[in-house]
This record gives sequence, structure tokens and C-alpha cells, in this order.
Amino acid sequence: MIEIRNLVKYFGDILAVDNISFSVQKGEILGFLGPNGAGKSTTMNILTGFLSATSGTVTINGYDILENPQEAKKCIGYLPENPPLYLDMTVIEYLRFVSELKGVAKEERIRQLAEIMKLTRITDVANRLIKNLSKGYRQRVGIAQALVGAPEVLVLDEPTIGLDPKQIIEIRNLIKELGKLHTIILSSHILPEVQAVCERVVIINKGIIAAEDTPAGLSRQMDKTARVQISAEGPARDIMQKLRLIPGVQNVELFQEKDNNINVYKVENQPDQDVRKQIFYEMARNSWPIIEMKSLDPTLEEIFLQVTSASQQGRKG
Amino acid sequence: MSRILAIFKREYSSYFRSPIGYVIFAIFMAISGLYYGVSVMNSYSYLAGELNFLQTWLFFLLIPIMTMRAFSEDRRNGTEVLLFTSPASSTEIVLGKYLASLSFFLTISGGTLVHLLLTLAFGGRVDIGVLGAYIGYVFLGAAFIAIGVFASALTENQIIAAVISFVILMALMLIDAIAGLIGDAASGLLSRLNVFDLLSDLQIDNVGSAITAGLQWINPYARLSNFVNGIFEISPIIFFISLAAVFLYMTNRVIEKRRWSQR
Repeated sequence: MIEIRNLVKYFGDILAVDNISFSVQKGEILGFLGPNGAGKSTTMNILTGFLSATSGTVTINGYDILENPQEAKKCIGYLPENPPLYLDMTVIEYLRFVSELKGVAKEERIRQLAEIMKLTRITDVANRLIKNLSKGYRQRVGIAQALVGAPEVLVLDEPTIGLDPKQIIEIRNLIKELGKLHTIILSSHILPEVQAVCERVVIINKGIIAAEDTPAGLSRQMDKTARVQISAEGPARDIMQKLRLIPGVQNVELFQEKDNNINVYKVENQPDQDVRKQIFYEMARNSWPIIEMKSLDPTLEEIFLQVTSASQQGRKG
Repeated sequence: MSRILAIFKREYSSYFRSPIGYVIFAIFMAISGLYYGVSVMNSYSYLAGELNFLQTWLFFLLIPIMTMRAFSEDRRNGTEVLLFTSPASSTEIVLGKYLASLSFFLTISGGTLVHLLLTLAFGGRVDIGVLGAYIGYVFLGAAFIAIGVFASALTENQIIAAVISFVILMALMLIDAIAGLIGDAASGLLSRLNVFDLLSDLQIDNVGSAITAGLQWINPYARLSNFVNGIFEISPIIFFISLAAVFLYMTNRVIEKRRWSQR
């Protein structure tokens, strides 16, 4: 559906995007993750045809964005970082304009706009001026704008930025909904967002791709040492001493002290060795009741930090 | 074509979404009305004179204000991303915006038809020269609007855009006066350099007057004189259309260049 090959973009002497290649399959929701200034927006601006690349190709649905821009652009709905809204228009006037601009047939227009406004839940503000709308509504009008013309691909650049938590959840649900019908590329610097919505993640840092996998696959890939967190009642020093003796356990630390002689410990064990049973028997033998035990998957935050710092080190060396 | 129409409709109606369109219209009507009123008080009404007054003293002020938002506002608001990632080509975008400004110009200029009707109603003089003056007025305006649209593509600041087109229009207006000065200066410089008498004085003078003539050739106002006398020529019309086409082409280049730029 989307093929990006060897994309390079210079701004003067600054290399913003350094030889990026990836592809997105039909119907997929791809998360494009990276810290601020990593080259996310530049890549999105190139793949929607707003900017030109220094070298490399972008193909949308078989159409090259430079050689066949008109056909390629028909396949894309783009929500840039700042929604491109005409503040002096009402929502319906604006969407009608976008619809005409994208060449939606007249008979189709009214039905399609009504559908989009219902889906993005902006029907009740249809006749209000965009400049009087809140940030959350403006964002939704921005998404509505991208949906006009029923493009197969949606490119959403930081769609939840600047929204409050309730609005973020709403927009995420909307994106999931849209994912059933569209191929989506979603950029973000917020990890839980990508985790919640995307089927595949590309992590970009300083213009190069640092990692590419499913959210779960990334966790597995990074999971060199598995960890178990337990809360248990009993003398902390003795517990830690006993736990360290269990074969397979590499390290035990006191994570949090609680009341009533209950403490929280983090146990690091060697990969592909489950130590939870041994921990249970050991604790039971000493009559130290376990209140809670869970294995800890690394969060995308940790993966993210690990991957980005690793790629930085790689570049230095 | 339908995309040009979509952009045209939006841009044209945007003049009336903010006070700017009404303010420009009010200024235009006030000044043209003043001229007309004063003429009538002197028992004299000749519309060709009014149009000449407007195109000489109002165009270089109002046209920069009319056109300054064309591209600069889109750039500042980020709405240019919508336009340039839509299936519309940059030529269609430029044409849509240009035609919108031109139509707004024609709309407010329609106000002078009130004066025409009043003149007719009270038996004033309306002859073929007035029609000629109108034709010249419209083509001059069309060329100047292209200059304004070009200036607005250069910057994201509306004020700077207005100043740039103001300076260009001002230079075109004063080119007759400047042309003589530059020609004389060129002759003067040559005669000083002419230490070995390689050129005769006549040749030196010829160079100066050639430069003057060349600059005067650009003067758009000089081309209008025959229209007022009821003589219709095709060459001034081609000149104005070419002037508009050159500036619209450059506008398109400026926009494309920015997207292709590696800076």
C-alpha cells in the first residue's frame, strides 16, 4: 500500500531523514514513534507530497508521489501536526470546500460529509465558526478533513497532541474505528498511545529507523532479563537473602517499603527461566505470605529509551 | 477546473468573512464618490477621468491590500498543507486565488457603474471613450493584481507582502519620471568614461535615450492613452495579459521552489 524506499532529506546541511525504508500493508495501523525532532513530521510531509525528498521514493497504492502526484494524493488523507483549518469558515463550509477540492462528486458529497461528521462527532458544531471551537473539536474537524474523499490511506501526525485525557481516549477510539476501513500511519511521541492503537511500530531517532516490530514483539526483543515483582510480609533482609539463593535469580532489590511489615521486591532472573514457582515454595517454607506476585513486561517507555540511546551510541561509535 | 472553482469560491468569499472586503469597498466608494461629487459640483462629469484618477491614485494602495493575504495567510496558518497535499496542482491553486482577487476587484469596481447610471440619467456625456477607459482600467487592474499575488507568495507576513507589491506598483507608476533620470545618468557616466574619445557625443546621447525609451516601454499607464480616445488596440491588451501571465508564472515558480527547496 505504502512503500518508502531509501528516503533522504536534507535541510541545508542538516540531515533530517537518513535513508529510511519501510512499507505499510493494506489495512494496517502503523505507529511512527520518535522523540521531538526525530524526523517524523518531515517524513510525513514527504510521503504526503507536501515536501520533496532529497533522494528516495515514495509509492502510494502503486503511484509514485512525484511522478503521479494527482493519483497518489487522491489516496491520502493527511492530518498535519497543526490541523489545516480555515478559522473564518464554519465547519460545514470548510468540509464542503475540502470536498470540492478533493473532487468528490456532487451527489456523493452530502451523504459523505454527513457520515464523516457523524463518525467524528462534530454534527452538533456543523454551523459554528471554526475559530470558536475548542482544541478537541478542531482536532476532530482536522480528522474529518482527512477523511473527506474516502482515501484509502490516512496519515495522522500527532493526532492527540494538546488534548485533555478524555479527548485523547475519544480520538484513540476513533482511530481504532477508522483502522477497520483505512490503512493508517500514526505518528506520536507518546508510547502508550502507539501501544493502544497500533499493530506495528517503527521507531525513528535522529532520522534513522531504530527498531521495527509489533508492540509485543518489541517487548520480547528487549526482554533480555525478565523480572518479577512480589509483595510479601516478613523481614526484608531475610527475604532478600533467601530469594538470592534461588537458582536463576540474578538480583533482588527492595522496591518499596510498606506498612505492616509488607514490602515490595523486584526480582531479576535469567531469561527463559521462570522462577515464580521456586519463589512461592521458598516463601511458603519460611511462612512469609506472598500478598501479590506478577511478572513485569518492559514498558514501551523502557524499550524506547533503550532503543534510542542504543542507536545514539551506535552512531557515535 | 472544478478544483480552481473550489479555491476561487473559498478565496472570493473570504473577502466578505472579515471586515477587510467591506473596508476596501468603502474606501473605494468614498474616494470615487468624492471625485464624482466634486466633478458634478463643477458642472462636469466625465467617467474616463474618474477611472484614470482611480487607477493612478488608488490602485497602488488598494491592490496590495486586496492581494496581500492570497498566499501569505495560508502559509502562516498552515492551510497551505491542505492545498498542496490535495490533488490540486500548484497552477490550479495560483489560478484559483488570482481569479478570486480579480473578481473581488471587479466587484468593487462595479460601484462606479452607479456614477455611470447617474450621469446617464441626468443627460451627462457618456461616449465610446468611457468604454475604452473601462477596458483599460480592467486590464491594468488584472496585471497589477498578478503582481500583488506574486508578492504575497514571497513571504508569510501579510504586511511585508503588501509593502513589496506597493513598491513594485509605485515603481511602475513613477517609471516615466525615473526613466529620464536613469537615461541621463547613463549618458553622464559614459561621457566621463570616454577618455579616449571612442564614442561621439551623439552616440553617448543615443545610448542614454535608448535606456530611457526602454524603461518607458514598461510604463503601463502610457499604454492606456489611446483607449480614452476611443481607439482600441490589441497590443496594449496583449501587454497587460503578458504582464499578468509573467507574474503568475513567477508565483507558481516561487511556490514550487519552496517545496522543492532543500533548505
